[in-house]
Amino acid sequence: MTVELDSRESSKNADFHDILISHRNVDDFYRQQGLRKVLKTRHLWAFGVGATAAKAFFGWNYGQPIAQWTSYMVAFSIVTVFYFTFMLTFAEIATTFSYAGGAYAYARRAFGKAFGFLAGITSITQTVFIAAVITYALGEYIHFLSPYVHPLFISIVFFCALSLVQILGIREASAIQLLIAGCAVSGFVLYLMGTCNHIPIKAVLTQLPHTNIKGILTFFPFALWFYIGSEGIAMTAEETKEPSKTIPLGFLTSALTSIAIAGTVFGLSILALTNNKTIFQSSFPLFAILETIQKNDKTLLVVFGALGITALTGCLKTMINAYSRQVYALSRAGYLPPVLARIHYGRRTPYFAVLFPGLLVLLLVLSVRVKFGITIASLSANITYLVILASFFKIRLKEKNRLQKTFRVPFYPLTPIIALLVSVIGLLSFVLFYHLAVLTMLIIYGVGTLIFVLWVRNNVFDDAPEEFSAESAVLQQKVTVGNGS
Amino acid sequence: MFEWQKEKDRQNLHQLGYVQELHRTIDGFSSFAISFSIISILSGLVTHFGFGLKMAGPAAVWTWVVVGFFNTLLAFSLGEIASAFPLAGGVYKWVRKLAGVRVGWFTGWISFIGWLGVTAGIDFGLGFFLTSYVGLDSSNLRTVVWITAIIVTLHTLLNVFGISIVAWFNDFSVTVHIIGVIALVALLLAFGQRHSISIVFNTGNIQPGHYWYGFTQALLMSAWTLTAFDASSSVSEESINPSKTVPWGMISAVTVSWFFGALLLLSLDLALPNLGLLLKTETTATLEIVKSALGPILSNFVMAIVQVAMFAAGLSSLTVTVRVLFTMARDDGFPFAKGLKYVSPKYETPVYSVFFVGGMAVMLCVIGAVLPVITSLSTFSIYLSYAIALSAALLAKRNGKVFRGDFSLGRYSTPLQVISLIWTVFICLDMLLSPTQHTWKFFLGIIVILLGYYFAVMRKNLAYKYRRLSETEIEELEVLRGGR
Repeated sequence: MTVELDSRESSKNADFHDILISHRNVDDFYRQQGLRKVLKTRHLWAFGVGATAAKAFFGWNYGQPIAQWTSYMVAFSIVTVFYFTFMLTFAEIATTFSYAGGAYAYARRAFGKAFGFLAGITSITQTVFIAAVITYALGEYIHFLSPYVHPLFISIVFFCALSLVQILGIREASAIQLLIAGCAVSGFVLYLMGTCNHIPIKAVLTQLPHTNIKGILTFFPFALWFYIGSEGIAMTAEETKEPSKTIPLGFLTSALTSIAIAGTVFGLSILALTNNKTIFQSSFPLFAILETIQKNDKTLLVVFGALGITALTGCLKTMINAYSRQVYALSRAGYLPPVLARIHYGRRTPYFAVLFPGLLVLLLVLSVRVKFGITIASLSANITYLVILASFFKIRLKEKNRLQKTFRVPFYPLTPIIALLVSVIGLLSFVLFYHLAVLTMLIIYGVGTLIFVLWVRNNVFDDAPEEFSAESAVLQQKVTVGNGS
Repeated sequence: MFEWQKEKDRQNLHQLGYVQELHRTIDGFSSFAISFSIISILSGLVTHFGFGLKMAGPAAVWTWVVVGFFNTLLAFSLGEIASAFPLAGGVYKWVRKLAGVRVGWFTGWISFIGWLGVTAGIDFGLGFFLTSYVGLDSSNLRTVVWITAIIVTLHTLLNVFGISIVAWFNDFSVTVHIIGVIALVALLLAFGQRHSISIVFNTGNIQPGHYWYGFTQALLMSAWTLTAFDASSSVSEESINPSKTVPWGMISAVTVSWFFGALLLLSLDLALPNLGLLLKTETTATLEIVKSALGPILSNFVMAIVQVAMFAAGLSSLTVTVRVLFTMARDDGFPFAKGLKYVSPKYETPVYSVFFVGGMAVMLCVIGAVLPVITSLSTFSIYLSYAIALSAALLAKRNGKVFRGDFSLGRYSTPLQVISLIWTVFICLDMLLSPTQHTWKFFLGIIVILLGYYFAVMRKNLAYKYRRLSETEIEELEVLRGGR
């Protein structure tokens, strides 16, 4: 597909081509929205793995006491099944609507402008909260490794540096992300090699705690924490080369790697922790476990400590990328001030969409507690998943020929139904046990609705770029069928 | 993209009298990647560092400096020839064009033996490492050969059934090599330093009177590693603008490998533990150094990356060896050529050639039994093929034959080719006259068999006059074979 069309020529012939509905409509859309298409499967993999790697390193042990670890294990297994089925479903819809809007674009297509806006707000809440928690953790972690470094100072330095990389260009950002993801995965391999021979199997089997439904539900948000944010890679869809091939492959490879990392880390850590419950109180449990098991191997600990920084950095970079593209897509469609959709002429990056939500992240770093941040991020992610799945079903049922032929979710409708059921259970766990988080989300939606009624309703464009492209593709299909070809 | 360039490349190929049958998909980076993967500093240096230590002590690192310098000149000289004859088959086709079919046929065979040695050497080295890595006794040759046979079988099966995986592995190999070297060097420099930089002047326990002799023996470590960079030329007919990308692919592969290899050798020297104990391990010496510097877990992790790099290098090497064989078989230059040039329509690979090369590589490991014997035979054969190509080019120039591609050395061409020729002859003699190995016996045996085959069969066959195809015939053949 050619993206470097002559802009003057294409605008001159715009009316003619609108009537004909040719490939040029789609080409024009890609050209006008201006992001550079450079990402390949390996880059999507890096963004996806980067998003989940940090969660395996930090935050998952902030839930209930370790005594109920079997309940946690059940919750983790259910969430893993959900995550895989969700990613398969998500790959299909993201391949069809390969636009920067992600959840917002699908919800708008399925349920209209207002739902699109609320989905966009949920997605921004999720990514901004994850970014804030990880920024905070990054500072704390570096301070933990080297007590001379001030945690807040180093957090801000890292955050600003990564935002700057994001503004520099997607090519630079994705290359660095690939390196970071590689280092993060290496860290987990080292963890596996350092701990796998030190699991007290007998002690574990003789001390199995009781499993109950309440325990499973209370662990749910923290099990979900392992995987949230990985759907942020859909935000890079407009910057992807050959999206019909690259997106499903990138999604599935990153999902499988994330499951392997989370499963290994969770399994080994939980089993290693059963004999030493004090480690569970550590903010950075993986480092604490490895330090206990391999206390004489200082070289290993130093290297693992350094690789831990890359795991956290990878997630932060994916989140900066995700919220910037989400804000950019909403602004482009008129939901947010148009200044946020401005693209740097040379670098083709939405720099205001990187900077403004970044200020919000810094504000949250200074004001929000980690456990609360994790629950809010998990809840908003859960809602985002529900919105995406509901949009998927709606589009599948109403627009049968609309979804991509290149990648179809296997075992439809069983696969998306499983994902939908688990995400409903997830939402239930929040409603039952995490009232403050639910209340906060309700306030966010209240404010969002107010903004929509007072301002957005009058400013949003009827022909959002995503919708325009979708219509063009449908009409094009009709023309082709009508011509008998 | 590049359509106009591909059309130009097609016209150039027609001028050389060949039909465009293969699809041109290899760009400059991939051309570099092929040679860089096969040079494979992580295979060559890691497996031969112990040999270098034994022969010249820690100062063996200087062999890398010497070989790197002369091989860069060699890459420039051969690059100029490759630019003039951008044909699949590399050295074999250059000599065939410059000195006729007979000399070309002999050179092709010598090059094939060299490539077979490269494949066997890489896989045998990996076999030693893997045996030791999984906790088996690497001094038990039978175990090592079995593990090597498994590795070669995997490479063979991948080449038959998964040619797309081979292509992916080739690009992946560059990443693994660079990451592997950077990780190993950074970790050794950060945590493993035991000596000052003066260690590079330490000649070990070698008696002063015998040192230079040992040093020339140690050249094997560097000469074998920094060779086979003509791999880029073997895919000339699949490269875009091969007159430029192939020579630059070769030169950049040599210089980048030279740089990273120097860092690797330096970091290994600085991390050397007890030299006496180390020399007993020879092939797996690097594994011992890394273990003592980084501890068991970290060293296992880094060496796993190194072994993945070795596996990728072995895979690429087998692929190129099959191409060399296939190119000769296509010209009926091999016994059972009909079978060897058969391309499976299902898998789109010359299946019998792949099995033949795999089988021969295992056989070479069984016969050679000692890694330096296989690698010195390989080094000798590859450098000899280079020497013949350089001699042919110099003679052709002397006879007034003009050949020039887009990459030209101008007035430096002849001096550089003369220096490169002297260097390749020196390396051949160095490998051949070594009393520690038995290369000359092997090579003599091969030459006897080759001459016997030549006089019995090939003399008549090669007398067959190859008629140059007309432009119309080439166009018709292209349409028939779907090459355009």
